[in-house]
Amino acid sequence: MAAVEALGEFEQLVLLAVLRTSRDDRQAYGISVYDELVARTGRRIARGAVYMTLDRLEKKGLLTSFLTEPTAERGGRARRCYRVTKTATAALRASRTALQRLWEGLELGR
Amino acid sequence: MRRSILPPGLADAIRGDLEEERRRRAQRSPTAARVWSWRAWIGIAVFAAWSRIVDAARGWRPSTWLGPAHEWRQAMRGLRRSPWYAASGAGVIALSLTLTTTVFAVVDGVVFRPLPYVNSDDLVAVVGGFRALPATNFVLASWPDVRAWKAAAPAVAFATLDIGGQVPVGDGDSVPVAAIDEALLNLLGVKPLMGGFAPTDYVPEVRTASIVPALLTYQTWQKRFGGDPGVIGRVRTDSSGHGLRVAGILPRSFVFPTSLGPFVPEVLTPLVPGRSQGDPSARGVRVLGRLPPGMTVDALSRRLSEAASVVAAAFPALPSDPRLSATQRILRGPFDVVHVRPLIEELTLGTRPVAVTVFVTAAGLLLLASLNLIGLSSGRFLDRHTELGLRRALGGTTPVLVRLVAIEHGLLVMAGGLVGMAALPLTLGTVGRLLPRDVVLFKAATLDLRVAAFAGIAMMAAMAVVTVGIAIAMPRRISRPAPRATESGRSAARSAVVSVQIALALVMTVSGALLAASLLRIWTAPVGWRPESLARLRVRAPDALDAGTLTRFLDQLRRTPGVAHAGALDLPILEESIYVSAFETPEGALKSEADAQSMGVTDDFFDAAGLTLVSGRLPTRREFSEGASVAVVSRRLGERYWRGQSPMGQTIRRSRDGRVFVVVGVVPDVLTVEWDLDSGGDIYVPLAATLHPNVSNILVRFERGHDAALDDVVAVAANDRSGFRLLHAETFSTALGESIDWQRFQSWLFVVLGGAALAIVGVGVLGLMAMRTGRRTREVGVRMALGATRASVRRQLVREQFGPVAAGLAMGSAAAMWASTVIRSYLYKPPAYDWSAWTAAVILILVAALTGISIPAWKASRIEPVAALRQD
Repeated sequence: MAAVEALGEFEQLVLLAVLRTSRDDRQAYGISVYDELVARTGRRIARGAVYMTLDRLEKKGLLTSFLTEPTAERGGRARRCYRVTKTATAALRASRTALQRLWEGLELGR
Repeated sequence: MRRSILPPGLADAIRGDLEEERRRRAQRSPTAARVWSWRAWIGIAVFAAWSRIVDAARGWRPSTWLGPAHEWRQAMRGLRRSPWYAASGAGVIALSLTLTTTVFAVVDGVVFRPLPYVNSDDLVAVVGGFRALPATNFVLASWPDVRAWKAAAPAVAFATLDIGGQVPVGDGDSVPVAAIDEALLNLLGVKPLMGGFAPTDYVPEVRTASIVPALLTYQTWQKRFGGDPGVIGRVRTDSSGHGLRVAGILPRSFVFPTSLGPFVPEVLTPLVPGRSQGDPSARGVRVLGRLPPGMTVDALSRRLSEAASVVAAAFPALPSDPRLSATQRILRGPFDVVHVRPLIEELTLGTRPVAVTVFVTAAGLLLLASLNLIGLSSGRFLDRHTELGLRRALGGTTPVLVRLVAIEHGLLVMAGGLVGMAALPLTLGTVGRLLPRDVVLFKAATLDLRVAAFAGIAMMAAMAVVTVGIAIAMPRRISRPAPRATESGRSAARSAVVSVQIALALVMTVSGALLAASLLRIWTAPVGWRPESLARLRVRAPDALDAGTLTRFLDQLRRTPGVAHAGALDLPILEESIYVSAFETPEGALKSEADAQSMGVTDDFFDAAGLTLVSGRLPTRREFSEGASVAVVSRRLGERYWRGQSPMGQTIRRSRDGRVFVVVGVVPDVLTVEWDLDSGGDIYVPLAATLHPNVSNILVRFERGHDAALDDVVAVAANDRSGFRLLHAETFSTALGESIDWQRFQSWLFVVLGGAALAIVGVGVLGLMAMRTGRRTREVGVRMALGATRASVRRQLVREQFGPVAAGLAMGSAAAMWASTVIRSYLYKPPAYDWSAWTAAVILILVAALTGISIPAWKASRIEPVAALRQD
């Protein structure tokens, strides 16, 4: 297995959003990933940041993408849909484990 | 450019995503969806560009050989050696960037910015309409309409507002007011900065009739209360005890949610339905709504249109008035359709097309400046063959040499951009002063982050255009080191650059000249009044106005030192509204675009207004006081009504009671509506003869040199105890000036843009011609050595260079003709062909171009043949 690369916070969020939106036969593409991120995090997020991060994660080998059939409602353009690779899953697991270890025994006051 | 910033596959996918989302949003509002799509795309492109810069900066290392730092130093030295070239290049960029960014700062508040309300895409304006008439014929709602609409669409949140009137704020002044219901601020998602209305403010029984609770706009709070934080609860009244109690302050960014023309409310009061709340024909309520998720504009329109039939069933029968036109009859009847429009369309309907036109023009100016720089650099490049050839011989590769030249121009654009940005506070301040009051801006035109970002993007765009232009022009020449310096000077590319510049400049100059001529016509058009030494007082008369009270009030004003005359009239003048005449139009009268107006006046009115008789006589003092059936008409009305006959002795019949008035005199036409809109003629009758004597305006004429007496007049009127309330006082010149704010602003913008285009073309053509002529020094020397005279050399050079100028004028004329048809609707009484404006524009362009051609030609002809032949 390839060496697991440390993930930035936003990269983790995007990977998790891709994982969530690609479940149940839904497609993970720009709009659905953005909507999922905004709905789940409650943050104001720049669309550009989502697209650039998706592109970067694909170049890093953490995502793969494929094109759907072009449709009229998209002006004759195809959707670029993303899937999380095994390397990314491993990286996410490693991140979660590291965080859990760090949190063990800690209790923050209000 | 888009594809170079974003990876190609990703760019396509993003555009598809945005299109998908746009179509979804377009079901609510196509305009808002389009604006959203552009904003989203620009946001993504900016983010992508920034990411690339950050990534590049991460991997950047200084080069050891001919590295960037070294190249930048060389570029600086190159520019220092050509100060005229550097100054003119940076100058044109600075000029165009300043103007383009200034225009953007204004346009940003009209076109690009979302409405300053929470989830503004869901907000709609609702008005009643008629299936038999176009959608532009709409009417505000009545209270029964509002109740029926609320019942028909319970999922939609509605709010109502009523606009108009003034409320005194003390010191003899009053401010425009609008009334809002309890739901409006919630609907918009606006929270007052301080305070707010209490629930009891909406209970009529609890409220004091003369003092209303009021929310002040932030600007009014600053201007009239000095931004005092302890202002809540403070009461301001006039001498009659009418006024306001400050209940709260609105946030600074608050924009009133209707397009109101010159009426911009400074104060909001609670809206309480009046006595007419059961009458479906009493219409005057504005209605806004917020669409729930899943409901479209069309769906709501259909549902409310069905509800309109409920109100129609209870609608009172219309009196059969034979004088009403078919359209008027429909307009006074019940609604059979309800129009629902996105609020953004309602607010920007009047200003958006102008804003887009101005912005495109300003962007054209930046393109013109960039073309200019390409032209200049292309000319300069020919002079640098020897230097570049030497660099190549020393090992400089083509990419390195291209980069060197590109850096030079990058420096020029940056220098121009910085100068342009430094000038922005000045130009934005000027725009702020000139901006008409009635332009609804969703943010002030100031130098904020968005405006600064736009300036940066515009600078990058200019740099990109220049770099691409140079990249196309240069490599072929760089790859041939040390060519001969002699060229025919007939470069097709450079000629094309000159022609395009001339064409663009002609379009802008013609537009500027047409608007300037229009403004000149407005200023020089006879207004009828003698505005000098004249003031207008807007007043509210006591409810039961009797002749004695009015006479005493006017006498009081006349006794003020410096006042010569004071006359009253019942019609609000210069309020941009035409009031329908109380008299029937005689059979056979000429039709007019605008209605005639009638007004009741007092005996001193004609002297105060400075109206002198054209023919006949004015009513006598006794006729005025007794309310005799006599009338004075304006010349235009006389010509329309009695076509060629003398108006004297003719009669006009009042519609309401059939009373007949005899025309005894004719006076000149005066401007009563607004500066660029005339009524169809005016009828003056004694105020005492009107059905319900009332006074809305008083004209006060001062003795020569006593204009300052206006302050004393205001003090007298403000302290009056007879029931008159002074709402506003201003000189007549100010009132006239305010009615041309918008025309003045448009003209100013286009004249400045046209002037800048001329300056840029002048510099560009001068620079290009100087370089092209300079290249032919040796050829000129040969010709003169063979016997050519200086005059013949000059003639030949001018003739040859004039070709591209003529081609540019031809191209520009076609485009300018199209542009002139577009701006025609903004002109005041445009003639069929405004030859003077066209001639002035063409002459200006020719002078600029000929100056650019003649100076270098003259210099070339002064050279000694021997010296010229020695040149390489």
